[in-house]
Amino acid sequence: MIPEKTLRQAAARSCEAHVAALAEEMPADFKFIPSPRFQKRIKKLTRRANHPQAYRILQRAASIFLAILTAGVIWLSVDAEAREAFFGWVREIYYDTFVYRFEQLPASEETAYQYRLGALPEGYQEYRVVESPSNVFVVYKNADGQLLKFIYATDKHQLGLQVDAASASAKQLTINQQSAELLIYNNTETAPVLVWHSPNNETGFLLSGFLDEDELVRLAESVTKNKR
Amino acid sequence: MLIYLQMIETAADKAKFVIIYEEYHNLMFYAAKKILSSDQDAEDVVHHAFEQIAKNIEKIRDPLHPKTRRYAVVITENTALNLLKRKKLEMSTMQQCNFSTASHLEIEDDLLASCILKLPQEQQHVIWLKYHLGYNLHEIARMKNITFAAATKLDQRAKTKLKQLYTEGGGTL
Repeated sequence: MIPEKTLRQAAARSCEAHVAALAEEMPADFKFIPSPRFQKRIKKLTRRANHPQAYRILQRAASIFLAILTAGVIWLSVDAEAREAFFGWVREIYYDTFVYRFEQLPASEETAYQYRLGALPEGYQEYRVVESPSNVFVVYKNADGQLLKFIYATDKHQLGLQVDAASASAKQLTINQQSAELLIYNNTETAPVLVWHSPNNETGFLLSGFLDEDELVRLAESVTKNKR
Repeated sequence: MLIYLQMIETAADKAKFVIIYEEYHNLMFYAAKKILSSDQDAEDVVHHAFEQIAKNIEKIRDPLHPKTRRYAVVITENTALNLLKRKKLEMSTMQQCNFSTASHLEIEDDLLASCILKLPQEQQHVIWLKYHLGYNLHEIARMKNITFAAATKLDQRAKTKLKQLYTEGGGTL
């Protein structure tokens, strides 16, 4: 019998090798261009999605009930540190996820601003920005394809920032005199994550990349706030 | 992409999905094309794979984590294999469609990982889905359109074959 832990590690390595090989052999100019048929099917599905069936409502009600029930059970099963005040935000632990979210309502003008890293490590450039009403996801990339992720969250109605807590150890730091947490993982494929907040406690930030602690702190301290 | 976004509840999850779509759709289509010769079939597979990703988006924490890319590819390949099966193609054709690159791969200092890459692709996927991507056998059965008993048997066969390859390769348990 192969020990399960060994099998899990081998499964991860083999899967990574397989996908990496696939990505490597894919021609650089290979592009998926959706056909008109594909677009048509999407429209058809859209119409169906606009007329949800009754069972979906029931399913959702059942899911909400289950979620409330489960959340209650999880709450009781964790220790007092599970829900600790973290700089006006709250950090909660759900199984293997840290969830950083707002405890108080942010000022509405907060969303009128955008944030960016004021300094970047050598060779990195802004690569992609994806915005939603609650989070902005900014990705920086260097020539080697290494990514640096900067996320900020401003909406208390959302879950805020979700971070993998499995195999992470947390270190307390300060960024511009504000409390911060650095999560370091004991595996090589998960980059360290730095979480902190704005001086007015209304925006949460997350920075993640394969950089050392000093560099991450330097970048976090360089964040600039600009009017949109 | 609109339909996928409608399946997703929160704005944060929608942002995650946009990133996954933009980042991996080419690779997913390429993965599907490696298994299915037809562009149309490959497109169907990518569509179904994105539906599955949309349904499970809340489980994905980081859209740019290497594990998310693996998840997108494995889901796509699995969907492509299901389609191939449905079309009742000859088993020999399936064998020919094996991922030539992956099957020639060797992972230095990791005999067990190399052996997984030598497994028939259906068994390979069960190992990845269960032991790397965190699916249980009920979920795998649903995903592969087979019974729970068949999924259990597939898992057992995969592990037996893996053990055989491992010991033949000089590994000790």
